[in-house]
This record gives sequence, structure tokens and C-alpha cells, in this order.
Amino acid sequence: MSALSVSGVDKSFGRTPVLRHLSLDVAQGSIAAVLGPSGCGKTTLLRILAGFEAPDAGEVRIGGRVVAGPSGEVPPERRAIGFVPQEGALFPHLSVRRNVGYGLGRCADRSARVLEVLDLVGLAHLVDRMPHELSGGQQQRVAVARALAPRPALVLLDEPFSSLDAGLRGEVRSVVSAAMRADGATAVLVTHDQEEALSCADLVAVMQHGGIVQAADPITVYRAPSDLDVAEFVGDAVKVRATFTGGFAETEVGRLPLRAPLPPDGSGIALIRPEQFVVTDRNGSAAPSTEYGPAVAATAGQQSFLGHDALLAISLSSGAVVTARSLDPGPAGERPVWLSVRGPVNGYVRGGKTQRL
Amino acid sequence: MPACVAAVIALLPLGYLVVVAARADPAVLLAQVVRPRSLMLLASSVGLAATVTAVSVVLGVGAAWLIERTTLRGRRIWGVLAALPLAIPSYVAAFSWISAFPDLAGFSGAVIVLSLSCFPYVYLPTAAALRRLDPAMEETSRSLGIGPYATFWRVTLPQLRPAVAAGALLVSLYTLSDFGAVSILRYDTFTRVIFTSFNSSFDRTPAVVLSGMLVLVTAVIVLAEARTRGRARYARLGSGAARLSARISLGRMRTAAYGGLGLLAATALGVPLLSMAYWLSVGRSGELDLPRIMAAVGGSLVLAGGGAVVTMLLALPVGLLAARYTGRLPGLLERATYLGHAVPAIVIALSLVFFTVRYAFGLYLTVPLVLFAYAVLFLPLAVGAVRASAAQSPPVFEEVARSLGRRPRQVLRTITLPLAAPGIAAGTALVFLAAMKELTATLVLHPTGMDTLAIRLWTETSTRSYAAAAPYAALLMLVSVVPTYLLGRDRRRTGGLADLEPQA
Repeated sequence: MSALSVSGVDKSFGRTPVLRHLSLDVAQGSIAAVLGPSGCGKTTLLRILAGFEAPDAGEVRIGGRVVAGPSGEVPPERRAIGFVPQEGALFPHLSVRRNVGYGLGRCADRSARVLEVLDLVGLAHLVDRMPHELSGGQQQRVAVARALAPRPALVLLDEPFSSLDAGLRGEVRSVVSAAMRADGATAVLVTHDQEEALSCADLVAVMQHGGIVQAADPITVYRAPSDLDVAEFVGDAVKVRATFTGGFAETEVGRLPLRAPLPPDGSGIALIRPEQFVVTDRNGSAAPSTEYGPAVAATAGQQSFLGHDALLAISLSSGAVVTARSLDPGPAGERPVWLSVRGPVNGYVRGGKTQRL
Repeated sequence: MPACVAAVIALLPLGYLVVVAARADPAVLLAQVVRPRSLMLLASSVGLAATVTAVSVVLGVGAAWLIERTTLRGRRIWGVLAALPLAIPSYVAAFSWISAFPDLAGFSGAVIVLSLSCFPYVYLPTAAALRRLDPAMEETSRSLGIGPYATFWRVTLPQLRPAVAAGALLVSLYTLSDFGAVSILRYDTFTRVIFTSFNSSFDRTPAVVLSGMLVLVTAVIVLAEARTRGRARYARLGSGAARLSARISLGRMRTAAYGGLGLLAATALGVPLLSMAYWLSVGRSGELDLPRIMAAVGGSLVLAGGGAVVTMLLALPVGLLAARYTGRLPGLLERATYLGHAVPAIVIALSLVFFTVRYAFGLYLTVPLVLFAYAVLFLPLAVGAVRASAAQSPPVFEEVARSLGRRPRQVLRTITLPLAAPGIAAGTALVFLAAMKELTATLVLHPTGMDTLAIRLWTETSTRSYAAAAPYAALLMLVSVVPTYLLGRDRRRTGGLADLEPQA
């Protein structure tokens, strides 16, 4: 059974449509990331799930129960949700203990549960601090604990890590996603950061222009994006002209195997991720051959060194320039190289939009 | 719904004035308006307002620049001294000046007393604007080869314009609506003549006509200011906190600068304090009428306390509504309550007199009527405080609380009100203090036989019994200056104080 099921939701503000017939299903106990550029409507979707906004049409079910639909709205306090806003929004006049306990009634195991969820986020020792005595990352973790405490059917997180600085973000993110998994929570996380979505979600739903354009596991979304827009949004993308025949793309960087589902034969665009390129020195050596054909001659140019790896601008014989990711950028300056491609690529029929299926 | 009640209360006095004017014979009204006496009053009122505003702008901007942008020592103390005159009710200042220099009665005295009372209205926003200014603009100007003084004229001053204009608006409105100071200094403006004509005659037409003219002048000023503000938009683009600008070393001008600031503090604060001290010491040799003073204290406490509670109860729904919803109705309701800011107290008081005499004689000259007037006068203060304190609890807190399973009423009780409570308490205290100092409406509406500090001061001063007036002046000074200083200490960083204003 889906913990969350959204079907055909429309929402406009005034005359501006924000959500257009949006549908999404999230399985029990999984973490879903709604990934989209700013202004795509993802925060509106979250607020509709929470009950702070009402959809114009469509239906929202949480745990099988209809909470928004033609028959009316269930108010937020009766939806069994946990909500983590961008800045955490801990109640400034309440201690950590009372913040986390706020959603728990006067049940017997109240203080035990408070400590239990604080322990999940690794902050049980700070239970008597006030919010202003915590760092930004700690506040965010307490906010997650507060949302988890009443064992909600669904936890909603609105860009919860974007206010943290880069170094802290990864750490808080892994603590939080581990805590949610340990608690068996189902969560929907809204973000514009593709790394965040890919690294901590079981399901990545890419949102554009008020609708979900692809919803799949992170590896599928990255390796087999449903269209070029998605491809470019979830990571660096190199696009080369190609002719598709019999499961292969003929391109100026070689004959490349296509990933299924195959595009129709004809001309189109092949999508290659920069890390698929293999760059080797050409100084007089013969072209190394790959499984599907020989490498092509090219010229390595400008480098952008990023620390963990580097990006190389490679000029092809046609004059086109592609970007390759390389662990070892090699010597600076122009030099001749062999260029080949590792693994299958994706083919899209020319014209831009959803052409793959 | 409760918010609507507050708006109706705020609009009633002005609305009734319009009704009275509309029912009168237009020919009679016109004859009153074009009377030479009325036109002379128009000239004297507008002339006084213009002069006081000009002097205040010079004093306020000068002090702000010296304190915020030069290397003078003791900036914090100068800052407090420059803001403090605002706390002294202008009629107390007027009492201290005329009792020390009896020749000051008339235009010059009114200009001196009102300018010294009002210049902080310009100083405070200007100083705040100077602190917020992006130093990169001045640095860019300097890097293009423009000297520090030329940069101030060409880059800094234009950016200060909105702040200075806002301050100047307050000064001119304050001067037009001031009743106590001009009465004590015996300078005829609309307010003083309205009061005398109301007091001395049963024909209410002159008072209504003059009130109408005064309201129109006020409206013209407010609209003019809104127009100039509407066009320009001065803001620092980009994010992050602005750095502080480099301060200018005055060199040999330093002594003159200290002298100027010192003279300002001495005249604005020193004269009132010394004069009051003198009359207190003179008075001690005579008889100190303790029971009478205690009665006045009691009256002030009852009226100010009641006024503060009533005003805050009315302000709560309006302020919360305005802080949460941005729709057209909440905006209108909020603006309606701000009318008390622009309409002179004498007009509000008079209109309440006419209204009760005609429709609710049982309320005429009763405590509830005074409280009603306070509510109209101080709603802006209270609504502002509620609004600001409601902002202490942004909507996201309420959303989180509801997502955790609490119903709206529980959220209000456990989150919104606890967070807003300190601000609401401070707002109530502000209204209380403002009502303690209120003279005009209290004087017109107070129940016969009931005294307050302000009324005693006014009565004794108008019979030139300065020694008898001194204890009241001292007590009023005490309830004004000390809390202002305490509140100002916390608020100075945000440029506050501007909402702690004396009432004429």
C-alpha cells in the first residue's frame, strides 16, 4: 500500500497555474525526494500534502485515507504528518525537550519517546538546551526529531538542509536520513539540490512546470533520464549529434551502444555523462580500441581542477567541444589525446522533449 | 469582527465631524472659512509648522551626521541625549521655558520649544538610515576622486531623503496638532483657537470650521509626503549585513562639533531640568499641596491604566489580523486605526463632545469617554506593537504546531501568544505612558472634579503659578524620561524610540 498517493492535483494562485494534474505515489517506509528548479511548484505541493493549502482539483491520500479531495479537507492537525520547514523553526520559547514533546499528548512514554527520537539524531545530550544555544545543524536535527516524535504516517521536509553550509550539509543529511530509516518513517523531501535528492532518497521525482516528469530510483533517474531536460537537471550532460541504428548511436566520438528503451532509428541526440569519457595520451601511440570500435583522436584543452577530480575541455576534429571528467587531469596546456566512451548512452530523438519512449 | 469594532471606533470622531459639517448651511461655513481671522490662523499655523520642521531637519540631520559618521567621542551618550527630548512632553518643555524666560511668549518661543522637542523625530530615522547605508556606495564615490564632504552631499544625503522626509512629516503633523505648548506660550494656532472658541461660546460652528480646516491641512501634508515617497525606491541591493562606513575625522572643527551638540543637549534637556529644579526649590519654601498632588496622580493612573487596557484590547485583533493576512480588508482596517496619528487630538476630543452631547449625554464628561478618546489616539501605537510582536512568531511556527496535531486555538495559546506576550506588554506600557502625558483630550473630556498631572500643570501654568506647577512637571518628566531611557536602551540598535512620542 502506498503511504502517500497524490492523483491529478491542480493548483493555481490567481490566474497562475502552479500544479498541473500532478500525480505521485510513495511506498511505505521509503524516502522520496521531489526535485525541481526553484519556482516549479514543489513547495506548493508540500504545503498541499501538509494541509496548509487546498488543491483546486485532485485527491491526496495519506496511509490510504483521503485527506484532500472533492469531499473536503482534513485539517493539518488531523493528518498525522510531521513537517520540517526550511529553517527548522524550533519554537524559541521552549526547550529542546518541550519542542520535541510538543506533538506528543500526555501519554505515559512521552519523555522516553523524546529521548528516543533525539537519540536517533544523536542529540540526546542536548535535551535541556534552548534553541538559540544550538548550532544550525543541531537545530535542524532537533526539528526532524520533533517531526518524528508522534510517529507520523508521513514526514514532510521543505529543503531542510539548504540553509546549512556545504560542509555541514552532507553530515546532517546522512544523520537525518539514517534516523528516518531507523524509525521506519515515510518521508517526502523537497529540494532543488540534485546531489541531496540522489544521495538520500529511494525515489526521486523530478518536477517541472507543475508536474512530475519522471519518478524512479536515483540510479535510473541519473543514468536513464526520461528526457534531455531531466538529464541536464540531475547532472552534467554532454549532448552529441547521433544517428541511431540497430541499438547503436553513430557519433563523432565513436559507435556507442544505446541503453534500453531504444529510440526509433534515425537522427537524434546522444546523452553522455562526462565521467563516461576515457581520455588517454596520444603521443604517437596507436588508437586503443574498445569493445565497439576504436577511440577517436581529439585535443585536450582547458582544465577545471575540482579537487576530487577535474573537468577537461576536449576539442573534437569537427571543432565541437565536449567536457570529460577525469580523476587525473594530466599536464596543463593543449595536448593530443585518444577519446573513448565507457558504458551505454541514452538516445533522444531531436526536437527536445520526451522522445525516448 | 472585533477588528471592525476597533476601526469603527477609530473612524467615529472624524466621521461625525464630517456629518456635522455636511448638515450645516454651506454659506455660513464658507463665510467662516474666508473670515480674515481664519485665514490669519491658517497662515500662523502653517508658518509655525514650516519653521519648526525646517529647524528640526537642520538639527536632526546635523546631529545624526555628527554622531553616526564622525570620530567624535561618546557616541552612545550623544545618541541617547539626542533622542531623549522626545520623551519630554512639549507642554512641560513650554512651561519650563516660559517660566524661565517670560519674554519668549509668541512665535519665537513656540519655534524654540517645538523644534527642540521635535528634532529627534528627524534625528532617529536619519541616524538609523545612516547606519544602514551601504558603505560601498561612498567608497565607490571616493574611488572616483570625490572628496568626503562632496560625497556626503552627492551620494549620502540623497539616500537619506526618505528617512528625513518621514521625520519631517512627523514634525509638521506634531506641530500642527500641538495644543499644550502653543497655549502655554500664548501663540495662536488652530488648536489653541479651537479650544478657546469651544470653551467660551455655545456656537459650535467656528470650532467645527476651524477643525475642518486643520484636518484638511494635515491631509494635504500626509498626501504630499506619500507622493514623494511613492516614486523613489532606495534600497541596498544584494544580501548580507552591510559593513559600517568609515568615520570622518573632523580635525579642527571637532571643538565646534562638541560645542554644537553640547548646546543642543543643554537647551533641549538642560533648560527644562534646571528651570524645573529652580521652581521646585522655590516651591518648597511655600506650601506643597500634597493631597492635591496625590489626587492628580490617582486620576492620571486611573485614566492611563484604563486607557492602556481598553486600547490594547481593541488593538489585539487588528494587529494580529494585519500581521497574518495581507488582504485588502485587514489593510483597510489597520489604516483606519492609524487615523489617530494624523488627526489632532483637539479635533478628536471636540468631535466626541459634540457626539455625546447630541446622542449619548450620559457619557458626556465621564471616564469612559476619556478612555474612548485615548483608544482613538493611541490605537496606532498599540496596533504597531501588536503587529511587531506577532511578527516574533512567524506563520511557520503555527504551521509546524498544527502539523504536530494541535488545533488552532491550542496553537494560539501555546505558541503565538507566549511569543508575542513581551511585545504586547511593552505596547501596553507604551500606551500607558503616552496616556499619562496626554493633555488635550484629557483637558476637554475629563469629568469635572477629576484631576490629572497634565491638567494640573496646565491650569497652574495658565495662571502663571509656576512654583505650584513645578511638582507636576517633575512627576510628568519622571514618568516620561525614565521609561523612555530604559526602553530606548533595548531598542536603540533598531532605531526604535520613534514610537515613543509625547502627546500634545
